[in-house]
Amino acid sequence: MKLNRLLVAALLLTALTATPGLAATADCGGTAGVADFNGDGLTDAVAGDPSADVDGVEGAGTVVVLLGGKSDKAENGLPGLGGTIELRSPEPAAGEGFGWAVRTAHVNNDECLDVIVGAPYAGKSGEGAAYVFFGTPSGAPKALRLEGDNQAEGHFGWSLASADLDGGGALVVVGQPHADEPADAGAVHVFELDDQVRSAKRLSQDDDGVIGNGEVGDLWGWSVAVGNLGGDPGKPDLAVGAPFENNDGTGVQVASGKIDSGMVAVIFDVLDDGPYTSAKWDLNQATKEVPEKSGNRFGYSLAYAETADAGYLAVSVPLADPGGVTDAGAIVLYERKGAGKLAPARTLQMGSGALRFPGIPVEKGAAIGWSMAFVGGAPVLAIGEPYATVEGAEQSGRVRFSPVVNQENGDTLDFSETQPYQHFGWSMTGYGSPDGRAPGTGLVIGIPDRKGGGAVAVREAGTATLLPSTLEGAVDLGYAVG
Amino acid sequence: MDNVGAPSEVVLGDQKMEPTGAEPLTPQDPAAIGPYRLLGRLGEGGMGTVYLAVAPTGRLVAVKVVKAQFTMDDDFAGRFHGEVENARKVASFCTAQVLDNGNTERGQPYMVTEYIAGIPLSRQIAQFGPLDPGPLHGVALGVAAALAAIHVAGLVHRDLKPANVILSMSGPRVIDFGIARALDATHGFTQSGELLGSPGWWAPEQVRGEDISPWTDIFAWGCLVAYAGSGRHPYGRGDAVTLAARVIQGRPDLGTLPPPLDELARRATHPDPFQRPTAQDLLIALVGGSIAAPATPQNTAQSTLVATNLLTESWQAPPNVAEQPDATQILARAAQPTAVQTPSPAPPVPPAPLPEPDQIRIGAPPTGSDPGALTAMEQAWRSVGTDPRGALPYSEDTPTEGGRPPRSSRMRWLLAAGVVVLALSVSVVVLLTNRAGDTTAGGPARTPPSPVASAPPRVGEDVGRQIALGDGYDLHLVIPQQPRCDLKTYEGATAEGTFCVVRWTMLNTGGELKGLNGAAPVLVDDTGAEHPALESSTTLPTALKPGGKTTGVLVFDLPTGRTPARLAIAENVEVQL
Repeated sequence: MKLNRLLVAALLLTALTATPGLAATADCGGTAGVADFNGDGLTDAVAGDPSADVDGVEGAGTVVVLLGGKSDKAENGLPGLGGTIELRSPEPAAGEGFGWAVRTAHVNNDECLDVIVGAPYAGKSGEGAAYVFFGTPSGAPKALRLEGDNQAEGHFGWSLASADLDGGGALVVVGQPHADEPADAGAVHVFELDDQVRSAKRLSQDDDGVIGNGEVGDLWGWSVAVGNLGGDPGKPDLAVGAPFENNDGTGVQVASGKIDSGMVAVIFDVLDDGPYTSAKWDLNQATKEVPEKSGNRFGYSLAYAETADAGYLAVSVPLADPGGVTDAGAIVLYERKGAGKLAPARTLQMGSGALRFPGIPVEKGAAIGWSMAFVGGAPVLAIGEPYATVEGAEQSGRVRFSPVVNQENGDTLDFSETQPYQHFGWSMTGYGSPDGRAPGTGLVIGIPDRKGGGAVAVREAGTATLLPSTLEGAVDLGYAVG
Repeated sequence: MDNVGAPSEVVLGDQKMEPTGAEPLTPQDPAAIGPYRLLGRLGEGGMGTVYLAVAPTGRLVAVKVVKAQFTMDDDFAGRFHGEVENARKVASFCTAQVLDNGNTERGQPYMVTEYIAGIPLSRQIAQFGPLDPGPLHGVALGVAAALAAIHVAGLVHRDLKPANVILSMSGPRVIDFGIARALDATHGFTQSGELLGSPGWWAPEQVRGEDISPWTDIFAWGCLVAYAGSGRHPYGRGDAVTLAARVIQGRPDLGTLPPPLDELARRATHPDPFQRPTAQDLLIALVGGSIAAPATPQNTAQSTLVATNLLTESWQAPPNVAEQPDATQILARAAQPTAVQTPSPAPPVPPAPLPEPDQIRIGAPPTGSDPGALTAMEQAWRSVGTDPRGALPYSEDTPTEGGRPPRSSRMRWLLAAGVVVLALSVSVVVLLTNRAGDTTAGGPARTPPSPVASAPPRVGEDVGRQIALGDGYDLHLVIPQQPRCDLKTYEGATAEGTFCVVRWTMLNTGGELKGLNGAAPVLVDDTGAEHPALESSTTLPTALKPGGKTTGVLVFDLPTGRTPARLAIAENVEVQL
């Protein structure tokens, strides 16, 4: 499978504005698919390579839009079969990590799918940066820079979440987990956007009504997700993971209790002004099926999807030791029923319930839930375990599925391209969601350590299709997908 | 000035570090010195205070600030910085590399060195008694190599003592050289008449106020080796005056040392400085002993545990064996600090002690063969391979919560002994070359007897790959692109063959401070010859804080026609190029 590389001539914002006559804001209206960057009717997705060299700028990072294309085997089309468009930082700088996190949403109202990119190592001291690239049927995509608070080594852009807003525009949340004060307590930045910034604010655990205390090293904002989690219907809620939070009781502590056991918090109606209503769970509060221990990292990754009458939030704890198996990992699945608030519904762990795979051993160190995504109508949770040994290939990686609606057995994703240490399933997204809240129609799976600069695989049904990188300067393609 | 003070732990937010020997900052301490954010106090001495600090790059460093009283002397700062500049020329192996220097806002000069994580030899001996012959030889060799490097740079340490030798994962390292001289250019007294150095570690000429020379350090080396081998101070105990008198009146009691250390220590402590050997003489003598034997193919294979799947591809472990931690895992654990849990109100946990001397007997192989017949490295590796229990847990910080694998203090020590030999095989060559007047920066390559394994070459396997350093989830090394090997010149230097420049990135994606125990990077070419990294290479970080990322290059001089095959960049980590 060749990835034809479509290089857009002028990607830089500056170059764009200096090029008269370019239809930079061309509308996708009428022709666009549900998640369609270039308005050709086919579903697109994105993948980041934050370590790629860009025209000799070392480690500047790059993002490719995987354009939808059809083949004999993929009648509905698959992202990546239609070539790629490369997105670059407006001012690529060495080591800025552009593409560390990527998401999509319909940010402005032109029906083109837009791409949000984090570059957490941008700036002189790792202040970080984030951008929105507006999809367009022709010409260079226009970029909008999202401004954080420029805190040195805050790594703004480490994590991203997005969803379309019902009245137009999108909610974009940018994590800044290494934000101070105190050191590395973490923060998130909440943007209401259309073709420009409508509102922006910074939230931390010290804001009024946000449950918890900002403590040293919590890394609150490591992961983020937005959805309808039980606040006012129609108003988006925000889930924030702090996998390095210690379970140390109430009040402010340092380095006590269960170190790095992790937690997840939900801030309801996050676009309202504070004080907020919020909730939080450590692993012990979320489930009794997996014993909470230091180093579990509950909240490491988050995924959200909703159906007409329910919402699901998956919160992973990849270094949990279910059944005494070290770092096998587990997932707590939260459910919101109707207009109720979300609550922990089930614990997914290897060897029991929906993850009872007779033929697959419970694997020490597999770290399930490293990445997660919802797909399908029911929906189904896809679970990445990039450290799994497959067919004897160490850390080749695996993806499994677990349906959310009942307890029937899950399945594994068929992917024959095993390779030691490739880390298949490092990142994952459900592509084809019309609004970023509904489950995706298919999966994009990152394989950042596959030989030759990383790769991504795409899958709607059946086996996954490998899209190897042909990108010049690629290092870690698939480190993030969106 | 000690790099390491009283036992304690540094708590960096949530990141409880490996015992660093640092104590908390006092209210009088500044929050930062220059761009370095202070984390704790490592020690205080006559000249000033040593802090543990974080550089803007995230690297852990030791910052030494001179006491304000010395800065009254107008010339002092100039002399200080001059000495630091000299110290920066010292090759970094076996020493703490000098990284930076400057003046605080209050005008106090400071210098910044690499922070060496480990236990000072003084504490090791005090707590656990004398070293066994293997480690003792390693310490003697490492300190001699450090002195050779210091002396080649035209400096004298002047304060070599067990507290200034850190037993780190990468072997013994000598700290705190080169700045005492700023106090006085020619002899060992300060202007106030205070004798520099430390009581009991003086050479006779130091006590007499005669000229200080490299042989002053050699005298201290002899005493230090005797102390490490016997656990007893060669001049006994007593106050400074008593000790000074003994130093002048008699020769030190060196106790019983294994050959060739007995003879070398005796000669090193000769009352006449000019009768003592040089550091390079010591090196030659030491590598001429059993340690000099080249690595056998077998233990080379063990020592070059690859980051990827060389071993796993060629060998399938039986299930019962697979359940046991293999050597790779053990090494990864030993090299990887992990957080330990301490209840909040409890007092700081003292650093985990090394095992009792009878437990650290190196290598006692089940066959009952004579450990003395093995090199330190062989002993270390045999022990790795034959210990069915795998890693031993720390005895004091045992809450190995969260299923984190327990560490083995024993393993750490064995490794240190083993690794120093590896590192020294490079440094010895460099130093001996320098003495011979050969200015080749990297020195000649050493060719091991045979390739590591018969597996087919795996070209480019690890380029662009996140290579786990340690337990596999947090600290990563990436060689983003193939080495560039077409350069005849690099930063003003001209290659003997061709320069190979290898880019690297190191990243901590975890939530805790992560230490890296780097060894001297070595590039192995397609013929199996090894090449040390040149001085123009970027120094690898000692530790990275959460989210920390650093990048750099390693530069090698390859003979024309050779191509790079593998890169050993840190302990037990090898990258297939």
